[in-house]
Amino acid sequence: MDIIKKIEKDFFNSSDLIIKKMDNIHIIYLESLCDSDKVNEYISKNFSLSNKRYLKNLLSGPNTIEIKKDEINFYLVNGFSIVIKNKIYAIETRGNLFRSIEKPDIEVAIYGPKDSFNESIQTNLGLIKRRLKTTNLVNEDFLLGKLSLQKISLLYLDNICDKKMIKKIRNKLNSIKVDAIVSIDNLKQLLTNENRTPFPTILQTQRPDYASIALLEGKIVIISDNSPFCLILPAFLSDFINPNIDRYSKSINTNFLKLLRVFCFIFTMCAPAIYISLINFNNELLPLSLLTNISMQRDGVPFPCALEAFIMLVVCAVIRESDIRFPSTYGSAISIVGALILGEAAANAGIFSPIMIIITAFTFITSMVFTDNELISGIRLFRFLFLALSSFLGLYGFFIGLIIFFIHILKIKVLDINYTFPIIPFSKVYFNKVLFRKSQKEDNKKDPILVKEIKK
Amino acid sequence: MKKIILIFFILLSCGCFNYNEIENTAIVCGMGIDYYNDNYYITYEIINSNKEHNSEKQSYTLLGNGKTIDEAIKNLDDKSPKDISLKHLQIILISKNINIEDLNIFINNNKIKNYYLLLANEASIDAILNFKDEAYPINSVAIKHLIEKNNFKKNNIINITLKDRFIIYS
Repeated sequence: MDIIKKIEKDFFNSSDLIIKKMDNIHIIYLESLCDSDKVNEYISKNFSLSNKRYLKNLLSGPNTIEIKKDEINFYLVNGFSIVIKNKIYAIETRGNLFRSIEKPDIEVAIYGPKDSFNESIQTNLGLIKRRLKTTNLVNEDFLLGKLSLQKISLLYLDNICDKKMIKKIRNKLNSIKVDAIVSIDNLKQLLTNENRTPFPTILQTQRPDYASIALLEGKIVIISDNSPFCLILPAFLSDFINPNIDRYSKSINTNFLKLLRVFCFIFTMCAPAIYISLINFNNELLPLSLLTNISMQRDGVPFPCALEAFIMLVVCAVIRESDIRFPSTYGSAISIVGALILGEAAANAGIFSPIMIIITAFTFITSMVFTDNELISGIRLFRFLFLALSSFLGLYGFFIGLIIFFIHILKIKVLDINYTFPIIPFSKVYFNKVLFRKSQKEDNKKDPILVKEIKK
Repeated sequence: MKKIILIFFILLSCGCFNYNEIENTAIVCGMGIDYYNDNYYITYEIINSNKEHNSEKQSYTLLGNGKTIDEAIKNLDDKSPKDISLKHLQIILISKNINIEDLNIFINNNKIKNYYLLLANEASIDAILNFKDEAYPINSVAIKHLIEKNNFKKNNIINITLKDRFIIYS
């Protein structure tokens, strides 16, 4: 028949395209994408066993659609099998090409549920829907990419979320014209202007409980096929510094940890720069005993201070990169210990001074408190900028760098809300959830900037 | 965009005029001023920052002279092998024959600050700053601690003796 010859020609007579003829009925499917057991059960068995009149009543698969000629290729590629008599029917017989639900491997937490997203969009949707059992949870579908036709779902709670935010994201998604979106990380770069800032503006997570917490605050979640991550928009600087694991413990205990993390963020950016400006330019700020101690340590070191600091920071960046590529997930502590021993050997040989090694080690350790890769890269960029400016001009240069940093951070806007959200447009409700938590009872309140109106 | 670059370069145009390396600076902690033979004689007590040094020799002295105090300071600048930094000066010792008005330099200077001005009554200044004792490796720091401790406990310093070698008046 014409239709069948056309399909064979379109698929270049590939070996996994299977065409079966029974009497005057043709069954077509792609073997690599379909489950042959299901094809048997839904289609072939019924024809061989019974002899009813109408074709539609014989096909017992749960997802059966009547389609036209032009849509055959689309349904074949998505795992459907096609039955052709006088009319054309498509039945879903998709095979299981994904993993089962496993533990999250990147975001490990002590408390909380231990299931994570996987590569099938139906599983991901199910994991969220069983946590928010309400009809207000809306999901809209998009198909992105000319060649990949990747399915992407936009999730939000209808009575809480702001309509303008949804409209903006919908327009952006509709205007994406790419050949293929291989994974959701590509989509992350396409949704925002990627080179405007080194800091991340979209949160990526593997855990469905974090996604449901974000939905309850009025944010938008995007899930996709072929990717075990979900995107949460909008995301602010305080969300990256304080992860959501804090909600599972007492607020008295976690408030100390939150302050500690903010201190780590400041320390890891500013420490080498302040050290160099205190030693090389503004000696008078140090007390005399510390000054003689450092002076004795630096006796005989061939490099100037700023060059030493630069070399040690580059070595730290190399160690971190090699750690990630190492097969065990997320690196191991062996390389850190190795680096410290290397540093001590260098100090004994007289090439680097011991105090530089201590400061570099402490900078490195405080930067490992954060898990998001893009935040670490952003911090690293500003650390080098501060170091360069302060090795030319001392504390004056450090403050110029600080002004540049503040101007940069205050300029970033995520969906028309400032990046420093709970502090600069000050919102007491969000501040009490993320930065200095009061109690669990205040989780019900919504802040008036993210959520414009709540419909009942 | 041009304005941003212009502002950035204007801010950076002051250069690195106050750059110094720690290992190449001589940290002066004590200064002594004397006047005889129509010449001012200035002694510096400098901290020894070599890695291998005996615990006795934690400081050394330098002597310089000149017709005025400024000239004497310049003479010492030329004599010492390392750059001199007077930022951590602890005490200044003067002898009896010095005119107090000559010391205006130290009041109007913005680099030298936070020191104690002392009068040596019955001993020569060389002897004070060169005095070697195991218990007090750096003399100027020891004197400063002495003054601060006594000031803390009793409010007035009148007469202090340090092992009967010299006497200091406030």
